[in-house]
Amino acid sequence: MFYKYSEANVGIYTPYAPLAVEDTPVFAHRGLNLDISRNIITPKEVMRTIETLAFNKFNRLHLHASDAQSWPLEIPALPDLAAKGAYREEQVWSVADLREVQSFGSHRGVEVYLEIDMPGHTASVQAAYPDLIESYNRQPWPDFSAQPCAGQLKLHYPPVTDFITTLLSDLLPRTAPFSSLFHLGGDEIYASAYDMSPSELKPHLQSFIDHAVSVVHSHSLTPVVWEEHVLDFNLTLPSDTIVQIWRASMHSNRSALAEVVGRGHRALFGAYTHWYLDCGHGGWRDPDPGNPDSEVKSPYLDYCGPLKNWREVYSYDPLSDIPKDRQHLVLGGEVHMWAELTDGVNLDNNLWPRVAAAGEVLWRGRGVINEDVTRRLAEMREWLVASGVAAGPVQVTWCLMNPGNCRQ
Amino acid sequence: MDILKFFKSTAQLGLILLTGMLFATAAMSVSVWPLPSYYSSGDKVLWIAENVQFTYNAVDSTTSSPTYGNLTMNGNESTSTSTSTLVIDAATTRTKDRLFSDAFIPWKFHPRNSDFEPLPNAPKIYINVVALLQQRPDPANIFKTLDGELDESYNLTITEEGQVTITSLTSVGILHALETLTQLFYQSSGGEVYMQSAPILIADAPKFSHRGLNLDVARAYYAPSDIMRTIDALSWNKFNRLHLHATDSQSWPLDIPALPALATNGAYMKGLSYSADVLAEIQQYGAYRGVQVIIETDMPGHASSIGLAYPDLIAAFHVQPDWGTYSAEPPTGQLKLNSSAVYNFLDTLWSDLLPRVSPYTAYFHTGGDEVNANVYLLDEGVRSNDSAVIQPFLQKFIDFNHEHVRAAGLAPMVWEEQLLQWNLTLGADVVVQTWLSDDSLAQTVAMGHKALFGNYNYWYLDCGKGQWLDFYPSSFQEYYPFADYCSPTKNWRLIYSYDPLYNIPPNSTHLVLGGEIHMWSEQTDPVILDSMIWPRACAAAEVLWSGAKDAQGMNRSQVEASPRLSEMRERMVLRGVGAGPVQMVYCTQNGTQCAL
Repeated sequence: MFYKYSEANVGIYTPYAPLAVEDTPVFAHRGLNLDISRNIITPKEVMRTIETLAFNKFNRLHLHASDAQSWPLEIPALPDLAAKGAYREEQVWSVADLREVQSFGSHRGVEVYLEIDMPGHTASVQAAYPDLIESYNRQPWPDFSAQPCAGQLKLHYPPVTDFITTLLSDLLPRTAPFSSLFHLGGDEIYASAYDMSPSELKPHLQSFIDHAVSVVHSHSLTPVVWEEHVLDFNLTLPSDTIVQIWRASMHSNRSALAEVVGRGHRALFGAYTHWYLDCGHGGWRDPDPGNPDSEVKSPYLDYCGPLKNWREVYSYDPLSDIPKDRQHLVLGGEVHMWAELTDGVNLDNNLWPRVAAAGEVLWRGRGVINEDVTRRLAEMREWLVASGVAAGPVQVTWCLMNPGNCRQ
Repeated sequence: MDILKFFKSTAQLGLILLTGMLFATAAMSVSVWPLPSYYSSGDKVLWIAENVQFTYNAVDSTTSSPTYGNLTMNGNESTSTSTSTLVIDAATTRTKDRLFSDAFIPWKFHPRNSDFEPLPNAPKIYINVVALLQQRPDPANIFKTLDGELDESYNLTITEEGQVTITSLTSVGILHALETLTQLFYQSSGGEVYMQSAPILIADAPKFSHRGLNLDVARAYYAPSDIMRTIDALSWNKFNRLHLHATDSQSWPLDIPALPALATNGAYMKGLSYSADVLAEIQQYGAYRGVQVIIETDMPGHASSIGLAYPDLIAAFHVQPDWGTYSAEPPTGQLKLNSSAVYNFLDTLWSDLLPRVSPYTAYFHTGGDEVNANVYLLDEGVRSNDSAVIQPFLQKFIDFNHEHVRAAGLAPMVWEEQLLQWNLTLGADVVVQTWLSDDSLAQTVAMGHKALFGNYNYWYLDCGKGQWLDFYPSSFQEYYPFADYCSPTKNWRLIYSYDPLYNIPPNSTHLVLGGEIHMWSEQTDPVILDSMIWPRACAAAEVLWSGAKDAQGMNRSQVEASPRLSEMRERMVLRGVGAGPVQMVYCTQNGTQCAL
């Protein structure tokens, strides 16, 4: 509401008095999912992001804290995890770092909750505990994994069960004061890595998730999982489980979200078609000169390109096919920053101002694109820059100075 | 140190390289970007300390602080020899600074927790002297050579005993060699600086003589410091041209003292313009780094901002809501084509601007893209949108402008439409900048004109951010999901794969002087400038310097290029340029794991 006068020593003013604002969010869970494993994103960078999220009335930060490529989280009960699994010592999030970040969030109304993605996306565990991982670095990796390096936690294997117990018993008490949620992951599990068919795999996955969920519950936390546990494997999950969707639609014309709430689960939206912030910068895989059939060819696009521009983010309508009597199960959603091509240097530019556009959908519900939105978002952008966030421009300066003159 | 011995040995070296090139296997064990023409290396470690001495033609070149002096080519000041000395001394100061401040520990390029550094207790051989040998004096016009006029080649040798010799025919060649030199060294975790690839033999020369970035400073304003930081980054990548698209319909940020209302009324805000002194400073900054700063004032289209100062010069000024009939972008407005007032204005403009920029560049760009014919229905001196009627006026317009450009000692540059759409007669000295397609390049050289490549299908950095115009509610469905006309984003791989000469007959390739990668600023400003340009412009830099094909004439390998590009990215970040990552750290640590 307030602006600074252009001459020095005149003061700060608002032109909007008198003013009365009544405001309340449409969705209770309004989050950013931030990947700190594919590339290095530091606690300081995350705290700057939390500050900016709070300014945009977000209330959740989901840290995707481990993946195949690196394990940055210090787990004192399992010290080799970070010692051998992090890219480098300077990437490691110490116990104190994590507490500082979660506390920082709490002071700003942003619950920071963690995801340890499992049993897929766990190759980084192998550096510390080679015995726990099936199909580690199995080639060709696309047959066994969504990304290099291949490797998934063994199932139906007591040392893995013990590992999960030890890991979660170390981590959950530390995160629990700051969030009631814990994300167990569960996306992109390859049955091939277990040399099984999906139907053979299902009972093992069921045992795996039963155990993991029981540990989460024993710490009075609510489990969150990716949609595949429900939509691909049809696992039985406790009623408090929150299912996070990321795909758009399944076999039918129904959205993945509709499928999940149709089965009675509480859910989070954020489909890659609209809310993946990483899309559009091109594929990160190199074309192998020794492979004449390489699918990596000009124009070297990524699977979810082009980039989701801010209007596309803003026009996401999560409840578009959710029946009224199921809408109460849609707790909210998250916009996703996968970090294959993002680190601290370009984090702000990849997040902002598009996260702000998602923030308005989360706070107000589905939006209507018009020039007023452009102008308000453009002003938000200037606030972000003034606060030290490297957000890109929303509109040409000339257009902002000449309202109504840049329409088609 | 016996200078003659060095000359002889490097001349012999030159011969060896020339005859031996067919046999040299470029086993690339270090990362130089862009890739040198001919290269061999070893695996011996050499260290370098802060007391290393740089000599320039046997004279000590190590100064304690950069002196920018008054670089003028007129008057009694420096002869070209001492100008070269000023340039080289500043370059060696920067080189030393980079060698010892970059602090680049390349842990991202080796498996995690591995030992990749030289053994700390092994005996150390130090490089004590870097000898720079320029074999001829620079020409007097060193800062304003035409494309192809200046030899930018260099040889760089580093012996196992630590003798470093750079030879070149020009100071610019030495600048390029110093950039390469900085890319050979790393910092150890103990703090000292080393390289581990001696002996080194490099013979390097650019494929194209015009290697540029086109930066639009009219749709968004950039501070001089942003432009100068960009010049630094360009020089690290061996670019040699910065084309400033300095004016457009949205703003006029160029101070023209003889026409003060232009910037007073035309800049976005008071102070957001480039004074004569600042413009000279920017050009000098480039001159010291081998980067010619070329100014473009686009006309007769893209000139609406002139109307904020001089309304009588502009036809179809700010037509709304039907701007689309009169312009590619709002606001509308083009210079009238049959107006003595316009010619008086241009006379004054050229007399003010051209002599100021002329000492530091060989070229002036008069623009000429997207000239809308309907505008001239509203021009009382033309009253027609028939191109047959408009064309003679345009011919007179361009003849007038180019005559002034030449009188100031400059060669004109234009956008392709002046030739390919309007069929104007252009002088043999005019460089035609193509942007629409590969065909435009082929047509331009087929007509015998010098040309630049860089079209929007491959080399526009602004594409992919979505439409920036707003929508009437009725247009929403039509434009959803709001992709811009040149979507998607041109990723580095696409930029790198561009082969500018693929459709150019061999007897015309000499007309393809080079190219430019374009940063249009409708959706970019200083806050995100670095991450928009870099590292993607690096990919263009290699096509421009090293050529699109490798030594065997094949498309360049991205498996070979991506770790090298990642290293260049790390150096740029350490030097203060916000380039985004090329791949996950996992990929750069693990060889070819991320290839498919």
